[in-house]
Amino acid sequence: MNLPLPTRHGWLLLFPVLMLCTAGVLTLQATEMPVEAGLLADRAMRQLLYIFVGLAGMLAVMMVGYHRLGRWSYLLFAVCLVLLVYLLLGRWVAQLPLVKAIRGTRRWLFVGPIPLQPSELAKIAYVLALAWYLRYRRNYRTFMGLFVPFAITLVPMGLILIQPDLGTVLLFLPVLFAMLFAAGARVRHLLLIVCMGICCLPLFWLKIADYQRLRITGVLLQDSRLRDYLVQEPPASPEDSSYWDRVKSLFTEPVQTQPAEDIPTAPSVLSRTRPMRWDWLCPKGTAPGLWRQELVEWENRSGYQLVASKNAIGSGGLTGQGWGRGIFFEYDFLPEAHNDFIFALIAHQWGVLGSLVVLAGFALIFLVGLIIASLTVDPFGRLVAVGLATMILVQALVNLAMTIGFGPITGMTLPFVSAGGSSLMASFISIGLLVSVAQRRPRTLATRSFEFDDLE
Amino acid sequence: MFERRLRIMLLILALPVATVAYRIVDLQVRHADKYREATENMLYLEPVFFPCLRGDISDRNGVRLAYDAPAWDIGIRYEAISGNDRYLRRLARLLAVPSEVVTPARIEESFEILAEIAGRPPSEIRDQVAGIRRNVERIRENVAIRYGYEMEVREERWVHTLVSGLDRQQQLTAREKLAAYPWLEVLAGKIRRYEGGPAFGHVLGRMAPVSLDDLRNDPHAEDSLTRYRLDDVRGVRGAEALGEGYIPTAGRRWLRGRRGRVHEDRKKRPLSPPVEPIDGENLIMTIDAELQRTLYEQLREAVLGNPFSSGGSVVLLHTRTREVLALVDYPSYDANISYAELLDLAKKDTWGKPHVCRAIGGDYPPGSTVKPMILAAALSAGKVTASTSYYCAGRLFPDLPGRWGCTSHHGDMGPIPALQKSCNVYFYHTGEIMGTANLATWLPRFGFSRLNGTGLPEERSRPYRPPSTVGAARHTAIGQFPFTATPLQVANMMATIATGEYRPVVLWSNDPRPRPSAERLPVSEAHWAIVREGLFEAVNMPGGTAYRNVNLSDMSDYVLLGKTGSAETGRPLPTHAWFVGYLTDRGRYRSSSATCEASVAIALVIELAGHGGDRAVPVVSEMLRTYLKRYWPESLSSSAKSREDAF
Repeated sequence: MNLPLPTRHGWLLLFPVLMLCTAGVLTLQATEMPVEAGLLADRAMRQLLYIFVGLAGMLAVMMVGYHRLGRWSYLLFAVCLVLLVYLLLGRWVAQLPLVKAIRGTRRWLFVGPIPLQPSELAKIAYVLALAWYLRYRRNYRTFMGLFVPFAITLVPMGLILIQPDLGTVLLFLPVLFAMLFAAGARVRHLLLIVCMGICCLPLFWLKIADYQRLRITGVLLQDSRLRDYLVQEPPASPEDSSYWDRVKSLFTEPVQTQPAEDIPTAPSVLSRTRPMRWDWLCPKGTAPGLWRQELVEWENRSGYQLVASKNAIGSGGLTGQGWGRGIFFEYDFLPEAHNDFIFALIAHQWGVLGSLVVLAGFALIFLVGLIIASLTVDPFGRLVAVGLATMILVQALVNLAMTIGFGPITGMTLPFVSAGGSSLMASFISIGLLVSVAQRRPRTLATRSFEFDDLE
Repeated sequence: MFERRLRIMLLILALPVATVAYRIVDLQVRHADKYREATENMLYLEPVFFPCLRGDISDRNGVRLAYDAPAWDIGIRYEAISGNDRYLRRLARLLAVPSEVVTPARIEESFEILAEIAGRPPSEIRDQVAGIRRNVERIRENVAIRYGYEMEVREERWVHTLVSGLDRQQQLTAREKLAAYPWLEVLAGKIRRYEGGPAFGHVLGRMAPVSLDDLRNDPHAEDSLTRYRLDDVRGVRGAEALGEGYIPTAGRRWLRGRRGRVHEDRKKRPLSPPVEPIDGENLIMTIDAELQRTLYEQLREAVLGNPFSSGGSVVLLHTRTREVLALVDYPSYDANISYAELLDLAKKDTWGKPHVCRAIGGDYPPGSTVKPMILAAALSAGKVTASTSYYCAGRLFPDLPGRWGCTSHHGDMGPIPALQKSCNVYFYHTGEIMGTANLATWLPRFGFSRLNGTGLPEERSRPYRPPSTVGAARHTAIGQFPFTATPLQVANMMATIATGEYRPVVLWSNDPRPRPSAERLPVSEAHWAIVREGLFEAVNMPGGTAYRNVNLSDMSDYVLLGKTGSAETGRPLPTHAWFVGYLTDRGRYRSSSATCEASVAIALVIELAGHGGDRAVPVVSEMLRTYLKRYWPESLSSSAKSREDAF
């Protein structure tokens, strides 16, 4: 990792960051016509403001220094947990001050006109707290020693899952594993835990809400062949057959083709009156029509978003449509385009080149983060750098996977690019911490930490 | 070593990064064409629907009464009225004109010219535009609530009709004048035309734009070919509404037909099989247009001949099949007038109420016309017998003058003379011993307090819910409040008495749906014979209420049986003059007339005209003469032929 880069100062990080921010502001400006008026659109203006606030926050963090923040990390973490618990109270207490449910989720605290998302801050506080906990210990190299790090992770995860915010939850585990792995935890322990986690997946599958489940199945439903198969009439089978028999028969009995004169009058499954294979997958005891409703939801909502997003990216082509040009700027075909699906618009405008530059930007942030970790000898700094770099990259990957139709729709923003104050603030604070780690001069006398030889 | 672990991490995370990069290249380079096409198809994915012609409405002899005539409409692209700059720019691109052409000021200007072409004030056009925008925005809001995010709705890409019904010359002028305003389009359309004048105003009905309620309550909302759309018109009154009926075997609305659809992508490849439009079927009514028109004229003269009369109605039914041969109201209106003109008419004529469809929606006390029904019910219920008689002293209680009165001092009255002379006292007694509960079970058997099956939306039937008092029973027996009926119900009652069975009437002769079966009444032939004898004597024997004024003595084969009625209205005005009757074979009038092909039942009411025997009977005589001349001219003797011909 001894690359000849001026990483000592960490300023290299600002290069991809500012590039991503510029792409975001330009795209936001393009979504809000008129562009040719020469003025900044409302959304872009606000984003620009947030970027300046974020930069200020970054400088403030750098001035305070990551180490001093680390000393307060438990306190910060506790404050974040309290805020998350407070948000949860809104589920039971009506008219809780500062809390408003938006589309059934309670993620934001409204301090005056400014919405704050405590889960964004909790991510950073979590990285700091975990790094602070792990920095001088070695007990995580035993299996039982992993208990506390996991506890620190699962508490905020649980709180955020109840909000519900599946996307943010998905961030915590990769960060935890990355930090534990970097700190030298035994690989076999981590693999064992991964295996245990996979075993728990069915439970998780049953416990999450219907719409969340549909978002995951929605990824599979993108395949039109599978969808066509599911809406076909199920094979005839006796009424008293068990659920598993019916499911088995779905895949063993031949597919019935629809009679030729039956003209589908509406493309939506809503108009279908006949039973479908999809209905049969619905276990007995579930409300009738619930699953069918899910499929309708898919067509209208997540499926439509996925298809529209892929179309936006694919139609960008090699060169792109040009800034603010293309069908997706003229028609509101892509919901949440300024927010979660902003990458689709970037790809639409600037083509494959723009998309790869954005991806490379995140990869560069991650790479520089790891270089910073390797250059410092401070154990706390090392872990913080690894954790934050992983967090930014994973967040970007989850968002990109959703946009290109590889992952579920999670409501995860693209760091530095998507509109949104809290997300930007958190991202800039992360960068501030990374730069702060990079700037701290290595104490040459100190032994380098976490130098464990084994990998098993 | 720490760095080794970092390198491994780098490798592990490089894997998803590489996957994402591969996928991006895959989407944007390898499959770019596919997605570009799919994106363009998002614009063109809307299926194109083709309108179908609405069927004609004709009478039983094929005389065309309503049809679609070619006409031209002027529509406006929604983008122009959206009030959104972004949409205006899009419109400029779609129309391939510079964006300076599509400005709010020029759009306003185009409304002025449109108003000039349509001959309407510009404010009206602006109101209409605001209405369209409001509807579309409401749809947009509903979609946003349903799906959870704002998205564009297809109505925002439609051309909305602003002016319709232009003729050939007007459309040429419009094309010329609107050439500079490309967002206004002249579209080929159609307009509904009606023949027959005011005699058919109520029967043919009216078309109106589909309302939001219609859209919401449309039972076929899931069938894109059958369902109503925001820019549709539909029949809301009369036969036009009847023809909206959905015929499950045909899979479409009868008169309306089914629109066609072509759903293809930009390269004209079908996305679903194209569907040909199916024009609406013709709706053939059982009404005889010529008879209807003549009866309308006769009714009009009768109403105008009475100083107080506010209107009248006549219904002519074929007794065996219950086909409605004429369903006439006076006053009425020409079906071609617009809704605004109709409102205006109704506002001006508050006495005549030309908008009310009296024959099936009028709520009249039927008066003495229901006495034969009461008698048949009482005989069958065993409450009176053929030999039961009551003494009539001119009123029910001799010591209570002015209440429960009768038309005259009749003396001892049996059932037949009671009908012949229309003795109220006899029926006060009969009603009293029947009781309201008993009457309430008998009335529906004759078709009262239930719909009689025309299927028209105007058809009304007030439920019979009397207080269970003796007074209410007596009043019911002489056809006064709480008993009310429509002329159609009364005519159908007479047809029921003529044939001995109840049937809903038929107005739509080629209705593909099975007709409801007849309901035989629990009345014996002997009892029917008594009732029919009473009806015969009322018209044909001296002393009968209709005898003096009936003018059908030259009728050789057939005989008229009937009952007059003079229904009090509770106002210090003359009574409603009623006559209800039926024609049947002269030789066997006591038995069922179901075998007599010429048998028709008629109900005539002239509002506020006076005594039914004096006012209604001469008119009915003329009307029946008209009917016989048209269908059975040989039944009238030669002396009648010297009379003035009704046709």
